[in-house]
Amino acid sequence: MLAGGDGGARAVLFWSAMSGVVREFDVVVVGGGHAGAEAAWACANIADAGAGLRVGLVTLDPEKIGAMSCNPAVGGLAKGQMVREVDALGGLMGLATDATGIMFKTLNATRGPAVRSPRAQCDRHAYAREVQRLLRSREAITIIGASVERICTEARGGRRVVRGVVLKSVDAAWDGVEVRARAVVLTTGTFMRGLMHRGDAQTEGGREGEGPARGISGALREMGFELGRLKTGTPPRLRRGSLDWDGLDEDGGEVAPTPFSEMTERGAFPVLEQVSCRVTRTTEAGHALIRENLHRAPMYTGQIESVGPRYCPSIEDKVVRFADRSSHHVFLEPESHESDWVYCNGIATSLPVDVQERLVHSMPGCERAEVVQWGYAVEYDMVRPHQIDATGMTKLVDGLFLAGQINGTSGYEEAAGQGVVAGVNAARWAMGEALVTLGREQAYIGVMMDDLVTKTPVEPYRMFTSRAEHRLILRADNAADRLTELGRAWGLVSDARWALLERRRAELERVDVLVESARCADGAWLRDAVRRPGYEAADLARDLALRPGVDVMWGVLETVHAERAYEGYIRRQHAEIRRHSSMERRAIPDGFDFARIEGLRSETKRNLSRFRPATIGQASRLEGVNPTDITVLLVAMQRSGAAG
Amino acid sequence: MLPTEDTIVAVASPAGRAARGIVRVDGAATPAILRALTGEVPDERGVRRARLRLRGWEAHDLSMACLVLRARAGRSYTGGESAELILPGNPHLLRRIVDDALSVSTPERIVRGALPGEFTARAMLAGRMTSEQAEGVQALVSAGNAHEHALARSLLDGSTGDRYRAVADELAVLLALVESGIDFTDEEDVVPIAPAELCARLGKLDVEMVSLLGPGSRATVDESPVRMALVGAPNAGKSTLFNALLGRERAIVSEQAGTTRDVIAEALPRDPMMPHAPAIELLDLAGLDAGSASDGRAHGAAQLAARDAIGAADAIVWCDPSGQFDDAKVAHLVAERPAMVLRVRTKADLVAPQDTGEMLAVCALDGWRMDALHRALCDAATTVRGYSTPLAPGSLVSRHRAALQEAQRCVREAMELINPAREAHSIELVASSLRLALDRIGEIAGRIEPDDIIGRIFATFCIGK
Repeated sequence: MLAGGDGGARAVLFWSAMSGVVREFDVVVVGGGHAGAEAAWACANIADAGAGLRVGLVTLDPEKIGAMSCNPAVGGLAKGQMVREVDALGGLMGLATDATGIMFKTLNATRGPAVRSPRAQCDRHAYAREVQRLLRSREAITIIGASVERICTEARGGRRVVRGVVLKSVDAAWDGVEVRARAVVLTTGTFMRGLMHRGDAQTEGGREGEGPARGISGALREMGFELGRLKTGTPPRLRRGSLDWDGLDEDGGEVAPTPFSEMTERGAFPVLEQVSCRVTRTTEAGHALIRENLHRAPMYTGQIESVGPRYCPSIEDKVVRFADRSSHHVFLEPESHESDWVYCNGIATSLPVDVQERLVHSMPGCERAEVVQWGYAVEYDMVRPHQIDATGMTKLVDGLFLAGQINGTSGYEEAAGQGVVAGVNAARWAMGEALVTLGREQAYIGVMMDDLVTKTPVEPYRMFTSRAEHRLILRADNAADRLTELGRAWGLVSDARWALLERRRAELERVDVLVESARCADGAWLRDAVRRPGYEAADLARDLALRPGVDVMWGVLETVHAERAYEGYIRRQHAEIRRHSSMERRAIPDGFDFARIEGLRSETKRNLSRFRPATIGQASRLEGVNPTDITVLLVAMQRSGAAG
Repeated sequence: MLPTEDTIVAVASPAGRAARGIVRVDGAATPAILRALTGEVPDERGVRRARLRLRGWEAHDLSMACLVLRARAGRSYTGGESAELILPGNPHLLRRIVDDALSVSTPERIVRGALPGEFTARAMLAGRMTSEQAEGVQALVSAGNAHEHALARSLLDGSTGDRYRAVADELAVLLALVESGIDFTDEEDVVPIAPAELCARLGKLDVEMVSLLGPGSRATVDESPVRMALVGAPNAGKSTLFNALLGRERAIVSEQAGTTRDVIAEALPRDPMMPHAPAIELLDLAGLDAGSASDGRAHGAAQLAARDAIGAADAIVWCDPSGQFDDAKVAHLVAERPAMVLRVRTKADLVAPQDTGEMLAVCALDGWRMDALHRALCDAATTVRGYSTPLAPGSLVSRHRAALQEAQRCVREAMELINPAREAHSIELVASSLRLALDRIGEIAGRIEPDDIIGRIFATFCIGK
């Protein structure tokens, strides 16, 4: 896939005879959430690597860039691995998290290294500010406070190609301006026709206190995109001073946490003062209250028709679906040093205000709690993700990329991962370079992109480690080993980061040699001991007498340990990958006519035509496509001379 | 795979003489072939009587009654235009029909001979059957005996597939329980499965897979004929028996001992009562004797050839008209061979016929008990090929067997990993083994995606804070 452009154009201001002011960029990113920020950042990295791209970041309110709409937490199971991957690809989420985290914790710490994940709670205000600071520090990025009224496209060579966007803004310098770009990345989050629900009250908007994005849905629909609607929700926030904080059980973070970013200086980490959370619970009285008021819950009155995530149910959902339980944990998480807001993790709800208040007061320690923001559910439009490729580019419009919740995902980390992919490819498209993808065996991000383009989402998509068939390889500890070289080739990785990887590689080799020839305290060979269950990286440090950060680079022992502990299994996973590789990456020609394949069931034809898989691997993962169908498809490709 | 646009034609009935023979035609040229062969093309599906006119018959005004079974596109076995001609099972006649059908071929509309299994492959490609059923057909065609035949039918009717799917389903449930202990450990409600229960349920799965695989899994399917050597002293009546079994005069029979000098090999006609027994190749050898210089070099060479043939045979039919079977020369040869030995008392008309457990008395001259001998040979051949141990459904098709064996290996690996005797276990490795087992089973039972596993977790536990 090649773009038409030749790249390198600088932002130019000139008058168009037809439509007033025209500004020109190489890439325009619409939306300043976690996907948009990451996409713009990736383009800036590529610009600095010599491409000289200009990136416009269009967002409704520049002060809200990097906002954490829900829980101010980053990472977690599988998500933590994705943040590490974003970081390995030169991304900003890890940097911002390390700089603003107020509680760090490794989840699954007692389990094996492949399923351990870092998680951080961030200072919501500091985080957004840090993301804004980082973006403003990049010369290539121009931040524009505006909404997108129209997406401009033109026909070129039988294809529809994006030309730019038309803005609407309170800032006269941008109002009505047509921003031209060879690539446009849409990251609209929950703002496309966002509709918030609380009891029978409905408010248009994508986030508390902010309006919706109205124009884009219609524009996309006009272009022929199939839209869907999803729902997500958020719990009430409480004032910390109104809680019996000290009377509740404490849930603290790690004393010596591991940062997310390879670039973070250990000596100065963590940066902010660390906090701890509190744990309370819902009660039988609270559940009874919810049951009595179900007829006022938008989820149950039919007011909300779209589907919410099963893994993040509202409290009314939990009470209905798991009726036998009389209590659920609720984590009270401080949101910031700059405010006394506490996030109520566990009671996302769209019940009316009076019910929310009584529910909160029914929880121990919250009897006199002051609610500073009520919970709500939000419905928003998404573009059904079978309409993008694993590159993030839409199949309908060349140069138009989608990332984040617009693709039906949930979570900051999922958004960031897509932001990197869409950002890289938007830049490459603008430069006329071939688009790139990540495989399922390379990264969680690759697993996610593949899932998005092969599955029909029934709920907002969230990453789990069990989605990754090569989980033992896709670990948090080796993200840099997996991706930084690729990131370097794509222009994402700075010299400093590259130097770190080179040093790390030498260290991995050195320690590996040491392990081969050393014995541990009980006289056994270290190379055998390292495979014992319960033997940890810390034991390796002891047995090799290496102090992390002093005698050996941080993170090296973890990787040596994991690679050795999993050795046979990793070898088997690599064998599996090889076994499937020829089919996995075999390309199906662009525009291949699935409907005309003889001998396919009509349901299969429909699915293939709808998803238009780019590879045999993708085709084989489509719903309702069985191995026989793949054989038929291969025969058809061979007949048309396209089996390559 | 050859182009599916071609019209293919082949004899579809078993090789050899039979009461009925079938020629099957599939493809767009079917009507043209029917017109060439019978002068008419029924356009309705169903069975019709027709007169067969082959090329060259016109001059003699010859024709033959046959049945034409016509199937139209979309309704046939393969999904395309097809027909079957049913007529007397004369191999020569069937070959002539195929030749005439092939002569209809033009560059635009190619007619060619079908590859083995190509009709079934077309049926599968046309979506008329699942690959599992196609494999059932293949297994049915190549079934070695009645038991395999029944197993092949179980693939066709889906009952074996149901068992595969049940295994896959239970594996998915267990994997979901294991995964819930990895992906949702921060959820209060999630209670991962206890190692002891997991072990017990995996043990049950292992038992089911053992049953599917069966004890005597065929390592490889040996389709070559079973070689059976007729062995005995000179003039023991081997050649007479040989001819009688073949149903024709192939070996020269003489009262003169030592008439047979060369090793003669011929295929034994199939016993219609045992259509699935392996093919048998009968070897008629020179009679074994001590030999003497006066017998000349030719005789010596015949003896050597006979001994070689015995060495290469899968089974030995020891012929002895005396019924004593104490000929040291033969006994010696037989003893050093692990091959199966059948003792046949030949020329049973010469003495009072009597059968014992160890030997079969026959008379080749009047055909007395020859059918019993034929059956005994088939049984022996079946045993030689290892079909006698009852096969299990999962071991019939090699792809299924491989998938099941690998899945079973992974399940056992998981059981070993959670062995309570071990101090600690890595739950992610257990999951890895179970995922691999599920993927392998999925190759024959239908793939179970990670999404399905996650769905099962959500259905079981209250997830989400």
